[in-house]
Amino acid sequence: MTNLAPIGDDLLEAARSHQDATIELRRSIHADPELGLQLPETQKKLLESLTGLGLDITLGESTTSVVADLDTGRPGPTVLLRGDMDALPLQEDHVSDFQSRHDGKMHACGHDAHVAMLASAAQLLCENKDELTGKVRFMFQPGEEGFHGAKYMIEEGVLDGVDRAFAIHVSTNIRNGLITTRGGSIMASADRFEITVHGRGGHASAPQNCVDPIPAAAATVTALHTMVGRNVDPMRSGLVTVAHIEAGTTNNIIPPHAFMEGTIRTLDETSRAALAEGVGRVAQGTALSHGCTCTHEVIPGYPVTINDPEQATLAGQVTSALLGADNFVEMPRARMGAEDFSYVLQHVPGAMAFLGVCPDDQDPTTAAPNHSNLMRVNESGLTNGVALYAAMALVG
Amino acid sequence: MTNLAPIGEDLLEAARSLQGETIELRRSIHAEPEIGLQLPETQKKIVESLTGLGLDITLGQSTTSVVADLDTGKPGPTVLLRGDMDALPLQEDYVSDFQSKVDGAMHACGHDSHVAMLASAARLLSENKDSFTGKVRFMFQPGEEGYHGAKYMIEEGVLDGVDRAFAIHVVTNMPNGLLSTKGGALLASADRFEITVHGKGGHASAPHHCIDPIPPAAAMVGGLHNIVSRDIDPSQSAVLTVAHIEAGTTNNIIPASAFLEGTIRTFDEGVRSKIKDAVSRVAHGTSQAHGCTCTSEVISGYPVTINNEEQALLTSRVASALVGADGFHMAEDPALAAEDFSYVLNQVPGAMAMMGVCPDDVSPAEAAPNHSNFMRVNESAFYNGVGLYAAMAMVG
Repeated sequence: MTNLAPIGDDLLEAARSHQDATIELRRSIHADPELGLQLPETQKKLLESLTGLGLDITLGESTTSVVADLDTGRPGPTVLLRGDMDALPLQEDHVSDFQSRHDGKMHACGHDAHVAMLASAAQLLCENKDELTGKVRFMFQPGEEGFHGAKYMIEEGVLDGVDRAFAIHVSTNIRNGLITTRGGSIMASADRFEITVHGRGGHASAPQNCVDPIPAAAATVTALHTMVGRNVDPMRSGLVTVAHIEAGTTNNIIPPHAFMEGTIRTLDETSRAALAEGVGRVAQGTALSHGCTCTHEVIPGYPVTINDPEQATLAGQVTSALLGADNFVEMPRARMGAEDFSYVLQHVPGAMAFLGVCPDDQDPTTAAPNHSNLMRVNESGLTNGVALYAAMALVG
Repeated sequence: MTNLAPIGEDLLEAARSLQGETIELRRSIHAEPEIGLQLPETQKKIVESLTGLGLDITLGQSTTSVVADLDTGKPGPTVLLRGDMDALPLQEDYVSDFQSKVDGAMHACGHDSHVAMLASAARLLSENKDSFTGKVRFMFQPGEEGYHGAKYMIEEGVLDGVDRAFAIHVVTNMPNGLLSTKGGALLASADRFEITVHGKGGHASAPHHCIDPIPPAAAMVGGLHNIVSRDIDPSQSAVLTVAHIEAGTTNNIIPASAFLEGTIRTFDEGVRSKIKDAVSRVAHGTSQAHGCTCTSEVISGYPVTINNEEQALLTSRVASALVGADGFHMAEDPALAAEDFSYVLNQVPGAMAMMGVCPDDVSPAEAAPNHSNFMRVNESAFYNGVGLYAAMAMVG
């Protein structure tokens, strides 16, 4: 039962009052980025900020996750709010007081902002516990960047008893403060493939004594791209990119093997399965036609991130009530990036929304994107995120 | 005017009497291999072994070449005999008393043998100066292994006044002591090509924002291999191999460029130049079709080694007179290796002969080939080479 009554200027003002704390925590985490599933420093900072709020806190066993439960004591749904915690293996090249202190590590995907916003939302909701019913579960998750962190937390029970889930992701290529989402697929599946064509090497002047794997590999590249156009429903989206090809060492030796790898992205599980099968078929068949053999593997990455249509609509309504209609826009189409919140959305109805954090001196179309070594977050937009997290719990 | 009279058992016996010093010089050079155009130690050893023979010696200016002239004082042709001096960048893995003392350098192409045989031939001819006419020029040449050493010596005048030229190359994959040659094309031209396809890199999930260089590179592999079958007279021989392809670093980044390199081998200068043009045509046309640009370069290697028909015939008659008809073989097919004696043969009539140096304990088919880290020379055959070098000068 949607109750938009508590959503409005007062809530936004309350979020704004936490802005200093949000920024402080974000900068502290930004300066000490950690990678993967084990993020002890980030966990410690997070726990400090949640101390004294009366939350029931459970630490992860296989990872340094933090699950914090807020129980109003009144009957109502359990709403899960997620913030991911991990950084990227990247050297930060933007100079600031809180520039990364660790070589080769950087919060270039805004997870520092997610943690800080969610911690402030926890603070805010605890202070306004009386207006809430049911429970709120704060899911602080390591290992979103390819480490399947959500999967570990689901195995440890983070979704037990959860009725719906919500997450925010910041994006520098969206106007500062703007919220956007859509029902259905919002982000892609991302699987990796590796193909090794096996021939027989020898002198480049005696191809007849060799089985050259390079023509087979080259033909495979072409055939893979053709396969997408022939095997995926034209009304659906599918992508195969051969992003890396490598064979041989010099000009006069035919190598014994050729290696290719790439990514498969789709917005529905049917196309995903068709492309995974097609990659194998094309690789094996093309190798065979060149007298080669081949080994191939499709390494599953994250599934398609699919927003529940009702939850996406709810997020839009809540945003408009909170920030005004100008600050919400329906996403016209999915992004082809991938996200492991998809695992959560496979189990419970929910939605992910994007929050614009484009710096004031940049244009959303040209701002250094997420994953850039120069990526910058407009911290003034974080208030909207804190308020939206809280609002999605308050609507019950 | 061919005079086969001095050629026979006596000459071979004289060559055999020098066997001890031929082997000694060969082993000394073998133990101290030098690479490229500057071979001071090898030059020193050559000059020492030629001292006292009454030769007019000129040292190279741009390289450590040695040109030694023997003048009989009687009118007659000037015959050039070549021995190349340089080693290969290879670690010798065969253990012997004279194993290479230099890490990463090895006489694995028999040039140590060529120098030693030619030095002994110089001694033999000096001692028998009275039994022939004209002049003999001994050409000790650095930098045959890709350094175009012959070109430098030609620029310094080594061919001035030369009427004909002759060279021997040892081969482990031929029966020990067997001499062989053929008229016309003996060895191939060997050119290298390099192509870089330039596109625009980006995220593998957003090909529409990129210009992916990998599909045109793949299409080029197919197109380049079509050149030999579609552009070249089927009765002519040619090889084009794309031996190395490299683009990208990982599965989810479309690279900005793709690199291909390979080798072109032909037995005809017309075919050679046609393939050169076609490589550029295919590279640029294919790039254009994919919206890419490209840079392509064909780096000229050695030209086709073409024996003068008459000189090849002369070689066969001289070799048969020297070692008997069983010891000579007229080859039918050229080999796809390349040789910079081709520069000499482009300017004066001449021939190159091959001499088998297969070790006694292996068959020619199984012997570690030239350029192998286990290549071994059967020294017992050296006097055939010494005798043939000398004989080719004595026939006038």
